[in-house]
Amino acid sequence: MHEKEIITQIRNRNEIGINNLMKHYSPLIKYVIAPILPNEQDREECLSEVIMLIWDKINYFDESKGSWRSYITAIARNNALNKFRKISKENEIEPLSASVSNEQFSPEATLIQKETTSELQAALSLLSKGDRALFYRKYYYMQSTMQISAETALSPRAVEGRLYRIKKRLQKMLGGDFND
Amino acid sequence: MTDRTEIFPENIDFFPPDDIVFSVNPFKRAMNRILTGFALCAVTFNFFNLNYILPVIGMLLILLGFRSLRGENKWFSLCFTIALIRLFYLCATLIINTTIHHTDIYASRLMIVAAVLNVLLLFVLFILFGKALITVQQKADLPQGAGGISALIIWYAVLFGLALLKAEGLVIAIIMLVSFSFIIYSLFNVSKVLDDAGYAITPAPVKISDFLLCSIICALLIFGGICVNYFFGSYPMDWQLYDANEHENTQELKAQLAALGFPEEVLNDLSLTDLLSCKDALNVKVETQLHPLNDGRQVTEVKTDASGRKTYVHSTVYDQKELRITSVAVLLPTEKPSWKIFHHFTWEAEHKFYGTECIRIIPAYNFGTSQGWMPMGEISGHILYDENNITYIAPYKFLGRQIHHSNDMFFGQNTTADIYATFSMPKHGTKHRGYVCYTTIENQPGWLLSSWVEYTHRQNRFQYPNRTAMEETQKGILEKSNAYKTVSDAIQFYPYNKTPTE
Repeated sequence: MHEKEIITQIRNRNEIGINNLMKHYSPLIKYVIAPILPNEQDREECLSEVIMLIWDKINYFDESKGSWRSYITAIARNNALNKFRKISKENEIEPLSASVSNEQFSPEATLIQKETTSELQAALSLLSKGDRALFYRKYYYMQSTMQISAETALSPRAVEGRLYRIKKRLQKMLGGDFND
Repeated sequence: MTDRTEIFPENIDFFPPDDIVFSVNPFKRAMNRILTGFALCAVTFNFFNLNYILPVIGMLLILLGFRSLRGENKWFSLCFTIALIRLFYLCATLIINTTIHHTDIYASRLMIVAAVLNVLLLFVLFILFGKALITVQQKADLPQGAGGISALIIWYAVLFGLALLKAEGLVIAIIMLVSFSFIIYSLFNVSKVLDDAGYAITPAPVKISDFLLCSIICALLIFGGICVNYFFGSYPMDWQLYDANEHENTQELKAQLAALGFPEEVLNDLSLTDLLSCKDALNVKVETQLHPLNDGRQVTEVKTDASGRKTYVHSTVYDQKELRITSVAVLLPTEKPSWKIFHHFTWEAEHKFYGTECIRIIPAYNFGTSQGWMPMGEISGHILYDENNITYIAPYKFLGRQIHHSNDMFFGQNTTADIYATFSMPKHGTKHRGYVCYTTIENQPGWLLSSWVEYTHRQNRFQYPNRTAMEETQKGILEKSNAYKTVSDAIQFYPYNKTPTE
């Protein structure tokens, strides 16, 4: 089924639309939330919440800002993160940490302090598609190094090495200091 | 530690870029590789060795695709095993192609069985691939179907059927290509539909990266090819010490032949049998010439005529001519006139030997004057070389007449039964030489005696698939390779003092 039909059905508050949404986009939503929520039950709850969010906030979807798939990805990711934070607070779980490097070499702090998201996106656009995808996998999709390794057929060491180089480049582009 | 979530905001207005969203899919990359691999393996381009390069790339892509998906279900796992077996078979054939024996190896029963199994495995692969896709669709609760795979199976079945029927023609080729393009297009569409199902896939973790895996396979392929070419790229020759006492008590005969004009350096290389067969010779005719077997150098000469008009003359100048070919015809004391023809060669300058060499002789009885001459007796000859003042001798790997059918765009269908002598020379030593001789007897008087000799020399190692000098000699003009160079010579004369019309 074409995505436009599903969007129209949801916009028209046609309940078939929600079934079609579930049928066609559940694998995508599950894929996005899985790295963030390790618990199966939390994932199931999150999936239902995301479906309902898409249904409720269909008017927020603006095709000029991105594709339908990007929109669903963004909602799924954000909702999973919210849920994770909520669960973390309740259970006092550590935040999702950057496992690829220690703080000393991490550009995150520099990035957060100095750059806005748009600047980061502009810097990312200068990278190759492969490097951008790797960066998004790690820092947007929150995928583990092992998952990235399996999906990109790179060894875990190669993934970490490439991410380290990407961060170094970004730091340079964004004017951050790097203490090697 | 820094919270990774802080890099990208949880903002409804922030969408990840579309290209990233579409590429971050555990299935897409693998599927694209598999389908591209199928496309590359199916189409054959017979230029720039693409008929070998593209299938290797294709098979590697298929292997890599199934490698990521092998953990998803048992069908993908079986597909991976089959892809591995088929890649092994392809690599084995590519390595075999570097030997000079590949034609014989492919004709062996084992290789015929392997080739048939390889084709059957291709069909099994398609069936398993279809099952694997349906299993993925089931897992993701998506509508099931893999119609493109069935079309691909039918396409291949038709292709093999046409090959068995030896059907040829541009129309068939175009129809097959167009239909194949549609099938691949539809498969890519199936792949797009399956993108949604693909999110449900868990790729198998890898210990070595795709790049490293491909590099290892390519390195093994190249190393295997070089090793096999080194050890099986030339004929194993039976070199023996030359018996210097063989020509004892033949001084008188040698002197008699030398007096008739028989070149001494040729005489000294003859076997005792061939030498004795020239006893009481009545006449000797000799032709000798030096031939270049190098590329020479290009020279441009500017000539200016009286009116001032310049003419540029481009020519190839050979500073060195390495190969001396001496042809000797000896009139034997038989009732009917018969001639023993010797074609002798000597490498006089420094040179390198790679692989195989071939001498082709168009004997007097095969030439345009064949009505005048008939074959008589055996064809004989051998090769020699010197090292540290010791002479080594070996029989030819093959020496005799061979019937060859050719179909050339210039000369049409043609059948020849020329004399061939094939051999390999050692990389060491000096004065590599040899000869071939045969006897011809007059059939009808008055005909020209013409005996042609062609020497085909391997100039370098780089030829794929490897061909022997003999195979090269038998190829048509358009199929000749740069790995070989051929020179021709002839001895031609009327064996009478008077011309036949007189």
